[in-house]
This record gives sequence, structure tokens and C-alpha cells, in this order.
Amino acid sequence: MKNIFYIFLFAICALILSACGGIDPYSKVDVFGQKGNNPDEFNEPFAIAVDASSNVFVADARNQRVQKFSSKMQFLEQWGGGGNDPRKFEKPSGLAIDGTGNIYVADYDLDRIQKFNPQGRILLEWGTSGKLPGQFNSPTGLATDSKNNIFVADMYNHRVQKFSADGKFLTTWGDYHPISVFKSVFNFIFSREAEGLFNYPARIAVDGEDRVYVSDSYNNRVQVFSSQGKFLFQFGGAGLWGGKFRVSSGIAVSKQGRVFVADFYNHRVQEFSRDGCFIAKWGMKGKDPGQFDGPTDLTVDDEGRVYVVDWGNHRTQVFKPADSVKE
Amino acid sequence: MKSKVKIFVVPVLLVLLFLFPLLSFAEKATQKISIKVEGLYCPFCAYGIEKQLKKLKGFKKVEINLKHGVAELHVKPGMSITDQAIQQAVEDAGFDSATIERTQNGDKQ
Repeated sequence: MKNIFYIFLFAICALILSACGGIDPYSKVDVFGQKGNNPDEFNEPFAIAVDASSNVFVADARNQRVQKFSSKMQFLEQWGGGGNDPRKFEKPSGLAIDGTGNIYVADYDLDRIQKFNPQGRILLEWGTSGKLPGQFNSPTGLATDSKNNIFVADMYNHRVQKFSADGKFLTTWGDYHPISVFKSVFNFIFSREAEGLFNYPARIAVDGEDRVYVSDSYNNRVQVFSSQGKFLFQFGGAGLWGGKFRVSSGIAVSKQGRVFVADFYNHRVQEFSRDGCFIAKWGMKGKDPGQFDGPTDLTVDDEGRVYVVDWGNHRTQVFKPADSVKE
Repeated sequence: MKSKVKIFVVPVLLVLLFLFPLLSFAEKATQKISIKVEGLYCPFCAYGIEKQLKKLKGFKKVEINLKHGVAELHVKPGMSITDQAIQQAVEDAGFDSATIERTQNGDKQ
């Protein structure tokens, strides 16, 4: 009996240690920005995207603008300001860049998507408030596939919507289904719970084979679908240790097929293989470089650099893979 | 000359005397409503509450304090927003209920 107790104690300690420590393959970090409304300052940076030239776009939510930076995070330009006119934002909440460099911006308050050319000129806008196809209730996540179709995580409608490059509605999937914390923690038992259903899906990404990864935020998991919305598999579940989430937020897939997920309440970033196997995690709550206060979104460039918007610290952090760092 | 000054000063004083109570009333009427919402901790949902509260008629400013899980609604002078409307906004943002506290120029009501 005593032995069982010690084994149990050892298992608990190992679990706690695995949650606290961990491999850190992204030890090289650069920090950009501070709280403010000047160029290259942020007030609640909420979403981030990177184009093929590694120019970085940040949705600076409280400043109601999008800022564009060079690959070295030097400020280039900005646009926005409050209002519902074209090129204006009430609360920019999601960003995506398609294969030709066009920029899509979701607006949380106005329930619309705006499409800009690479020079920031408006090309298209669509969306109104509602539940019908083509309408939104707080769109937060955007992603594009190889055919320049656009996927929207329509958060308060608990669904994903797919549009063509000219904003025509193509298909939708998902409905509301919250998973209890108990079932989420023990999802290796309840493994087929609510497939294809969501609880505030906040972010979305598409991999090189056009598979769609949805950050099902309040179900603490990631669900993966075909381009037509067929459920393929899921990973995650509520928890502190590696591979688990406390509100999964930003998600991105690298060219090499690695999946990165921002873990909001665990104040960290996690890395997975493209089939959802846990690889690494880094970050904890704090203000030092490499620490976070509620990461809300991330993106990854062709070089494998991971860009994270550190919402509560009003800054952006850029992590370089250890094997690419030459000191 | 004196009478000309009187003609100018007296009406100005009368206007000021008339306006003063109104200005004072407007100042007094500034109301702040604190809405304590269980589970209001992250921006994904905090922005949802903010969005719904902004739809209410009569608000001047909405502020979210995530550290304390509180949304603060500043009401325009002379306007009122009912508890029922606030509760509905909170429910529309996906939360169950809220504790509402009103203050008038810092005094609890």
C-alpha cells in the first residue's frame, strides 16, 4: 500500500514538473513595442500575420489600426482609425495574407471583413451582423488556402465560414457545444466528444495541404478538418502540462508542417507535429523577454521564426528556432 | 457710461445664474455602472461584453477591467440604462449573469 502511495506521489510530481519545465527550442527572442499609440507602439495587439517577404502586420485593437513592419520589425506604415468607412476599423481582430500578398482584416465590432491589396488599397469588404451565411458575430480568426479561399472563425456563431477570394460564401460548418472541464481533461477517455462542434472558435490556420486547423478556444483543443469541413482529428484538452491548453488561442502552421498554438491562460506557446503530437512548449507569465501576459495570436514565417502578439504586455515577440541561431 | 456697463453686466450675470444649476445638475448626473461578470478574464470574451454594452442607448464610455473581471459603463448625463438591459447585454455576450453596482460621482446608490 505504501509503495502505491509513493508511486502515485512520484507520478504527481512528474506531472507538475513536466508542466513547469520543458524543452525550449526557441530561446532566442526579440521584443518589439510597448504600450502607446505612436507608430511601433501597441495598445492591446490582438492579431498578427506575416507575408511571403516576412513583412509583419499587427492588428492593434485598442488603437483601431493595422501596423505594417519590415522583417526586422521596423515600422513601415499604418492604416485604420475608428469608424465603419472603408479602411477604418472599430476593433481589428483577425488578419490573414493570401498567396498574392492581399491582406484580409476582420473587424470584431463591425462584423465585417475587408480585403486590401499589398499596398493597403481596399479591394473588397463584406459581412454584416447576424447568423445567416455570409454574416458574422465577432469574426476573430482568418486564414487562406492555396486557392486563395478564405476561412473565417466566426467566434460567437461557433462556426467556420469559407469564402472565395472575391468574398462569395462557399460553405460553413460547426455549431455550439461546450465540453465540460472534466471531459476535456480526460479527453483520452471521451475522445470522440463533440467532433466538428465548437465553443468560441477564435483562430484558424491552413497547412500546405489545405487542411484547416481550428483553435476551439473554450473547448481547449484544436480540431482539424478537410478544406470542405470534414472532421479529421483533434488534439489538446484542458490542462497545464505539455500538449494541453487553458484556452487555445492563436494558431499557425509552418512551411515545414509544424503547428504552433498560443495557450492563453498558460501564457505560453506550444509546438506540435502536423498530426497533433506535442513537441515543445515555451513561455510563462511575466514581462521579461520570452514571457507572456495572455498571447492572443501568432504566426510563423518561411524561415521558421514565430511571431507572437503578447496582448497584456502590449508588445510583439519574435522567436527564432535554436538551430537557426548563429551566435 | 456706468449705465451702459450695467446693461451689459446684469444680463450676463442673470444668464450665468440661470445656467449654473443646470451645469451643476449635469455634473451630478454622471453615473458609472460597474458590472461584475463571472469568467470575464480574456479579451476574446471581454471584447464581446464591450461590443454588446456599446449597443445600449445612453452610454458615454465602456471600460473593461480584466484583472477584476469588471465592465464599467459610463452613462451620459440625463440618460439611464436599466439593469434588465445590462443583464440582456451580458447574456448576449455569452455570460450567465452579472452583479450590477451603480455610483453617482463616486457615491454608491
